[in-house]
Amino acid sequence: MSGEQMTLLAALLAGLFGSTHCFGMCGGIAAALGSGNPAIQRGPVRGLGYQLLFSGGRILSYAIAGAIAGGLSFWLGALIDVPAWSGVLRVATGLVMVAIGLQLAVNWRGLRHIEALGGRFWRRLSPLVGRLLPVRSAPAALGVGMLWGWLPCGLVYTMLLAAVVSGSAAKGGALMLAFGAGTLPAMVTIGASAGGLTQLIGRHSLRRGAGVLLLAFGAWTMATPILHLGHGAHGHATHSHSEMPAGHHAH
Amino acid sequence: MHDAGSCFHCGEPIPRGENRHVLIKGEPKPVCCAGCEAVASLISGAGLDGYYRIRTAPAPRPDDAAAGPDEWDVFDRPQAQQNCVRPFDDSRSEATLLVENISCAACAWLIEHSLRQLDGVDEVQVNPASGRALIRFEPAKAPLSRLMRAMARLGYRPHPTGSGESAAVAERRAALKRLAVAGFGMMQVSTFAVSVWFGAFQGIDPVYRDFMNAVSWLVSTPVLFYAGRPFFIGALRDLRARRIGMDVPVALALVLAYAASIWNALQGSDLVYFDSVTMFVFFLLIGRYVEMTARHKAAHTTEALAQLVPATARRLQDGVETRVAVAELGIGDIVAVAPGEAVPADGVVVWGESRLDESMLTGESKPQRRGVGEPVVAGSVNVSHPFRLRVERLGQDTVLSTIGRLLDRAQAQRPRLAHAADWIASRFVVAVLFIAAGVYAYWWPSDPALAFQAALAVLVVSCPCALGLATPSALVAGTDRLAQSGLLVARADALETLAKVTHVVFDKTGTLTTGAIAIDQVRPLADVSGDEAMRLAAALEQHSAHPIAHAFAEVDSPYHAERVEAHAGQGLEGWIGGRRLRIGTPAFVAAISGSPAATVPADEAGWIALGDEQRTLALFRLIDHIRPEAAAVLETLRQLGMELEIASGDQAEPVAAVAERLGISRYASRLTPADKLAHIRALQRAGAVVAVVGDGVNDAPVLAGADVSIALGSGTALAQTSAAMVLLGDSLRPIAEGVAIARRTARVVRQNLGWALLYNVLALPLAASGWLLPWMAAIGMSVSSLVVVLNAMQLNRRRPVDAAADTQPLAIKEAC
Repeated sequence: MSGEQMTLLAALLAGLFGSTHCFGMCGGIAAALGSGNPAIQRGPVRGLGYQLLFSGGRILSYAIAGAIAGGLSFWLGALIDVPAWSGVLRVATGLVMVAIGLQLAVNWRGLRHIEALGGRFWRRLSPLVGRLLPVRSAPAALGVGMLWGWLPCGLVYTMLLAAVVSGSAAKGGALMLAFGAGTLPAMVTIGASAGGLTQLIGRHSLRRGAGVLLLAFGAWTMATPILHLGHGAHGHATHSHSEMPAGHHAH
Repeated sequence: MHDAGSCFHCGEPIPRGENRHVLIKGEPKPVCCAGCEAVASLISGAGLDGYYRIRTAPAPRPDDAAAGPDEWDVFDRPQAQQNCVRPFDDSRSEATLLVENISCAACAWLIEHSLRQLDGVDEVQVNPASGRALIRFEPAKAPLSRLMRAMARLGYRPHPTGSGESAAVAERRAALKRLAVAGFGMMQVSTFAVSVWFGAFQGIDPVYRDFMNAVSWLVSTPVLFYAGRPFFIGALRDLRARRIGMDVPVALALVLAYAASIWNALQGSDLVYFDSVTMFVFFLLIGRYVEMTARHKAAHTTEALAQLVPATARRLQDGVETRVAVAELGIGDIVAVAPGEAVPADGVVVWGESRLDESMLTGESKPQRRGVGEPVVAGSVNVSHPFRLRVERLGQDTVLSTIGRLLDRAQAQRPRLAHAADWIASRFVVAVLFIAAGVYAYWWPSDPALAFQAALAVLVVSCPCALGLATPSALVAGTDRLAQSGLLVARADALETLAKVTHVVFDKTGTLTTGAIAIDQVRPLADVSGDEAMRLAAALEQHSAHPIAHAFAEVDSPYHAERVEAHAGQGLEGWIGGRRLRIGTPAFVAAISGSPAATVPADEAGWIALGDEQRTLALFRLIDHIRPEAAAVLETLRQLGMELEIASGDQAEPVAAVAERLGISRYASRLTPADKLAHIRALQRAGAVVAVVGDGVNDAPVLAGADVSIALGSGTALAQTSAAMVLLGDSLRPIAEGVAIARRTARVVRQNLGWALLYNVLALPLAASGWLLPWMAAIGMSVSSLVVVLNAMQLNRRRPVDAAADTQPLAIKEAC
């Protein structure tokens, strides 16, 4: 498994298992959005459709944010043009993975202070939500979902850090898309209350396992560039990375 | 529950140093982070703070127990729990409750979360699709009544259910789960497919593509083997029975596409169909789900009927009113029914008079008056005044349960038409398998990849779901629609036969008359005027509940009769101003005067006599009124091209009178059942399709001889009926409506079959030519099936015209 694959898989896992905090915080929105809207209360299929729209909008926002974050670092990398840039990115990615792993495994919330930054940004966006509520149409549901995507959230911000260090807009977007896809089952089923699945995802041992896996991924991601520094390039060099300027081998 | 240490929104402990608050209804509430702060103010700002109120409300309070007895207390008794509670282990029990008003997932979420906060509740699962709650609890800590009260307080009234979960609910639950797995899988795989597609523009790294393919493989595996299981089971069942059903090409296409995708992915090729596999499964499941919903709608009718009966009743014993579970009632109990309440059992009114809404049972939208001595049926709703009834039939013996059983029976049978459609579909499937093989063979020499794709598309696009669904979906919708208007289809074939009926034979004059007797003629025999005789008779009849008494009800009498006694089958005797009078059969009347019984004309329309101790004073000729709607219904039937006949066992004169007044030119009287049957056979030999309308009990052989038999159902007679269709209300109108609906149903069946064939004729060549990619074929197939099912479902909708005429009786579920 290459480093990029590992990052994507890590993002998917992080989304899939989230943290206890995610369930408490976003589960509340999913349920409240559902409970307050007569348009949604017309049977399980329609309810599910609306939940999918909410989450679809949210994931779209994630992907946009990821693409912006990735683009930022691409621009930065081109700007400073340091040979070790990609190695720095890999190590940073590893650190972020460790941070996510800690959030999953031991419910660590050290990154909640960055949420405060997002809180300021959110204050500008939140009036828009008021205008779209209560949700009466599919586009409004998608809109609310897109705004929901910008809520201050430690896990999302951590993922965005990973998107920053992914090195390109496409990779950053893909990363956040993978993360968003991972969150889909939990958020939609909390809203749709499909008991079994929610319980499975919410099981602490599973989440802890995923967290430990992410910790290992992070350690490995950090170790590779450091090992490479000693042993020189090998392996993936056969693959073309010309279209990805911040690729992982600077030679 | 929210002490200072935990977040108001998410419930997590608040980290040290965090000092954030949100104003909820003017009160500052602590939150743990910027995220929860944002969410909580969003929820409260958007007016959704009802969510918090409901979320936190039902924490158990000590005053719950002191609140005094209410309707829920009875559910702590073992009799009331026998149907809905089973022991789980030594200390815990498991209850299944049917919950009203669950309209979406959020309701279920709220119920689950609020009940779990109660002490002694272990596990709560609420299924938003079926509206059922499964609760595991410790009765010692949390009595069932407390749980039910908590649910009711949230606005979701619970009802004890019958035997746990019905098969239909379990089926729907399984189908929803499969649908969810397939849906998520499809979305995930499509996301990857789109990523690959986007990546292709930028010249995607093969490593990424292989990774995406591997994840797609991973995700589509449960979709295929869990969500797609019904198709494999169906295909295996078919093959074991040595026939080729619809599931065979489906299963074949799925396995081929899946296997080829794995092979190609391992080869590093771009040709993977995981997205097509998941889409195909998902769309097929949607089609099946919609079909299942249509099928369950009628079963749902039965369930909705069962829900009509309330769970508790107010029993009167020695002047004391106690609330008991309906299961505790016994025959002969006196039960009070307040306005707005539903009648708990079949019975007879013993006190009071009210109007009752029986629309759910009979399709008759106008509330019916019921007074002392008149029967009321379980499930009807008291709309005006309080009354009391004496219980006569309970539970399974009620009219309501009988209707449910008849509906169930009709639904369980498979009509001939559906068999025919199945036969066509199975032939078609074999043809498709050959075509797919042919297409593959044709393309293979020039382009093996295209050959596989085209053969796959052929298999998918022509999946004969539309063909197989065309008939049953329409029949089910039509049957359900008829039940709503008051014509119960008790035999599966009846609907399609009704569409072809050419002759309607009324088996009795009684089916065309109201049974309410009117006085046609008064013949004074002594020196009393006709009016005087009427007044005397009316004074006597005031004391009787006999149908004949109604005939005199409108007469204004100055007299007052005393000591009136009824002599069963003969008449009444009473005293008016010291004069002893009798009314009834001529012989009974003549007996007190010792004179010979008055001779009555031989027309036998029904004559009764009035007399005193000297002589017979007068004779009254009684006739049956023609039903007010009869003329209009017969006119509609004529316009629909029906020949109308009366074949009656009654005397010639009344039959002629009824026939004449309704404009029926073909009638016969004094027929024995054998004569009637012979007549029907003769009509059938001449090519007629005959519908017989009778009372359903005494004329079973006649009804059995008809192509379709329609019985006027009433009370107990319903249970023994042999008729194919039963009129539930006291009106002939549903017959005319029923014929129209039956013809519309037949038309929809033809449209559906036509559409399914047209679709296949158009789509097959496209698929064979390789123009359709497999995923397009999946969409085309599902659209064609949905068209068929939706077309059938429009039968279920009432047209605006008749919707205005009366209310929809089975609308309780849809209303929320």
